[in-house]
Amino acid sequence: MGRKEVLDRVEAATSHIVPSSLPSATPSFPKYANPIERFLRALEAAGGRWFAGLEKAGVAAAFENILAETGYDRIFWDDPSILEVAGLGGEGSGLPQGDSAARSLLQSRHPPGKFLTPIAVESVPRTSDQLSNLTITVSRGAWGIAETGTVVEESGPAAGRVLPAFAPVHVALLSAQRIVANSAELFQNLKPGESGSSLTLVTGPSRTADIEQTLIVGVHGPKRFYVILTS
Amino acid sequence: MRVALFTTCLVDQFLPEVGKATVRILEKLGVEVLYDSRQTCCGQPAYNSGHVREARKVVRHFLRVFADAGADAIVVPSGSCATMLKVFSSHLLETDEEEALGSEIGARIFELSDFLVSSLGVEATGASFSESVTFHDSCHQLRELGVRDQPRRLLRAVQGIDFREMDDAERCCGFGGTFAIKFADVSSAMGHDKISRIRESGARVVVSNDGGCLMHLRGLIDRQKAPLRTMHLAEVLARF
Amino acid sequence: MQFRILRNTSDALSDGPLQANLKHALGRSLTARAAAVSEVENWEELRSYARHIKKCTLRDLGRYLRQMEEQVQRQGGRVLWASDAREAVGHVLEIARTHQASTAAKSKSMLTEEIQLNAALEDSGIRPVETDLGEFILQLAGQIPSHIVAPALHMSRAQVAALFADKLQMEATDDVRELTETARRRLRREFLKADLGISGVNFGIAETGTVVVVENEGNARLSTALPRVHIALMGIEKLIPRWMDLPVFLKLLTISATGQRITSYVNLLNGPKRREEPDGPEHFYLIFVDNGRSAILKDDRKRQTLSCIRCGACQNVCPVFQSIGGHAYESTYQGPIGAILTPQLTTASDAPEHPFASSLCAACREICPVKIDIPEVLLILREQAVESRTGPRSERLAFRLWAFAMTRPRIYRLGEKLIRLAFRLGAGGMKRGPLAGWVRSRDLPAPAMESFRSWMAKTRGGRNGS
Repeated sequence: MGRKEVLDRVEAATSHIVPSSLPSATPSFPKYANPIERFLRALEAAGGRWFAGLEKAGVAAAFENILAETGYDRIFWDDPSILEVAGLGGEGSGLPQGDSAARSLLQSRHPPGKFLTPIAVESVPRTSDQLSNLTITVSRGAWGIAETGTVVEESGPAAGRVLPAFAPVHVALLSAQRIVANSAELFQNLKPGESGSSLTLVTGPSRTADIEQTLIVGVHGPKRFYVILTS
Repeated sequence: MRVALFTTCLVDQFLPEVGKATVRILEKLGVEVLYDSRQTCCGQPAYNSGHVREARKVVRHFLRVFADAGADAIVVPSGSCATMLKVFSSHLLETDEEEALGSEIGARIFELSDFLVSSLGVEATGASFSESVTFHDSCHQLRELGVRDQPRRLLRAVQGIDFREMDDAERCCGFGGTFAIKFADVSSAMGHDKISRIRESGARVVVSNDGGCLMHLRGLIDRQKAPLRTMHLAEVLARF
Repeated sequence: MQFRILRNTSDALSDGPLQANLKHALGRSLTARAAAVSEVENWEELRSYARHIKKCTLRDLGRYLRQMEEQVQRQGGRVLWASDAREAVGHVLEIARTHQASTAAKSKSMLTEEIQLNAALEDSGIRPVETDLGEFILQLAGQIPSHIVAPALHMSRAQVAALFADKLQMEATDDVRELTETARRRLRREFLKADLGISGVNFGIAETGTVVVVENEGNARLSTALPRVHIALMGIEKLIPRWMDLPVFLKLLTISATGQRITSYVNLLNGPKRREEPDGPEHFYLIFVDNGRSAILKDDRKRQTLSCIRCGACQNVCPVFQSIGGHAYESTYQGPIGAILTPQLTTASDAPEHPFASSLCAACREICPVKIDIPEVLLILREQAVESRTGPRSERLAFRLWAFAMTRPRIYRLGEKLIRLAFRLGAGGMKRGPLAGWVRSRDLPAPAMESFRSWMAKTRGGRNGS
């Protein structure tokens, strides 16, 4: 039903018009002498927090900071390779095999074998209980946009849509090499639907101003949004 | 230079002082003023209300009267009426011949302040006025003709004047032709807002160059008995 | 259904809290927008570009709709077409039945307001939960949005507090943080329970089959991540042809709407979850809704109405909207864009006052990120209203007489005398008749003792004074 009727009407309405061709050049977007600096400032302006210029040990320290600031003691992820990136663990280990600073930090906070309970990829479907008890989630940002302080979060085999969206605190690990100047540049690098079914441009924590234009941070999504920039 | 004056029906019937002031200014600046008394209205009241057929008739009458005016320019002391004749009338004309005439005449139509500043290169008319004054932009003059600075430059050049810019000077006063009657309450509320901004500026005189805005604001001011005066730009510029 | 405005204006104008809320909210939006625009060097270029892209899209809309359909299907999504509101609602109900759904988490969508989806869902025993904070407030209050972007801006925190105290059994507080936290807690449970996630679409990208949903709260992200089924409803005009065009539209939209360089979340969705993905909706449906839009496409001058990206800037800047708010319009779409959209989406006689509820100041055209000439369309709609004789007969007659006089200088001069006579007889104080509205709050100026032309004739002898 509907389809033929709508298309017929649309085509009848436009049949008298010669279609005009789309322009090949798009308007320019700003470029920055120091894109990383711009990225961090813009992220801050959007209410996001960051740790930057870190080696592995520093990444672990950043997590230490985040745990302290938020008062949470557990971190969740979809993607097991996060451990390696974050310097928190090694391959196939139940225990963290990262550098010693990170290991001692984590071991000091959690009894061995029980800390950092990931909701594993295999645990789908996730129960409401599991999700209701989310604390801090970590994912890898695919790209960063300097102009707006935005992190691109892609879904894929190792990363779902839910964790970064539902947790009260979300941490994105982003490589400084993946920061582009602006969204136009990003879109040249990014193909929608290629890695997964969902791409989200995330800029700071969730926010609303629906009551009297009063800005409240953290309405449905994360109340705190951190970016750990790795070099 | 020879200029044909189109005074507008509001000025003709309700604000003749504005017409007189316009003539005085132009003549002082050495411009020969022509006046054809067959002129009536620009057609805008009908056009803005959707009565296109009637508006078309009146625009055609205007074109007939001004086709052979033998003037270098047609000057109108109203941004709104100038817009009607210069911009909107093109939507009404039907034949190629008519359109050609319309655009030929349209190119010679100027709102008064634009004519003084842009065509004659005049800012000081020699007027003096020891008052605190603010300027209200008529929407058509501002957004259709793009005339914003010209009236301000003329006002600032008046001797003794205390020119004050009000907040939201570019916000509509609520006149809007038949809107002022159809949506009278909304129109009045918008006018009251405008009057508040005028008073906050500290000015005691609000100047505009649109008869419609001025009549609407004056009507509200008189009803409120507010300590404010309305004046047409030409009336200020002719105080020499 | 008839949408009238006039019967609401005096209530709106005398509603003190409403006036305060409007002034506060619209003022802040405009200030934020102006600051953000001033940082964009090529704002005007972006506007022209976007207008051009929309023009191209609308001229070839059939092709782009097919392309979008094909792309969505390729990704495992289903595309349904609805020629009107009834069909659109029917599709949603059918999907709900197929998946045995009993609750739906909805993210903000003006289109679902337009087709009155919530009422239809409720009638079929499916519980719709509005998850955008503003929409959640309105659902509790039983009201429709009063603004495209900030649907509850007509309410103060005190009004929201009283509503929450009444409906959510919470202690009255006007702490906005606490009110928001209450909504958060309640709605998180709903997200986890919902069978359906229903969203609108800000942009549909034909080239890639991407559905773009722009938001700040994260509720659209959750509505499209947690439930088993995601249904996206999209007006057929919301297409843009190419992926590479989206950055321009995003920038124009977010800056115009809230003054943000970008919103917290821009969700770019390509169909249901992939087999290998750990979560996401298993089913994705895109519903193309016409509901009067294809009829607007026909007219070369009115077509631009469909370029609208729903940023709400024209509402913020409109002095009429600033004076009476959105609810006075009674229709789904309000303010300048609503004044041109409503009579075209419905029939002119359903919204007879909409095209006239404007002083034609053109502030809307000046602010519109896609340069829709709203006053131009208003004038066309006024012309059509007059042609279809929906207006008062007395007005038609009056303009005919007026045109007769204005094209005959002799009659004009006779009229000049008649007006003066009428005034001497007391017309200036008229309580009835066409000028009654004027006189209610304004003095009517008396005609000058001597008209300008008489003065000219006397002092200069006149020229061509036939």
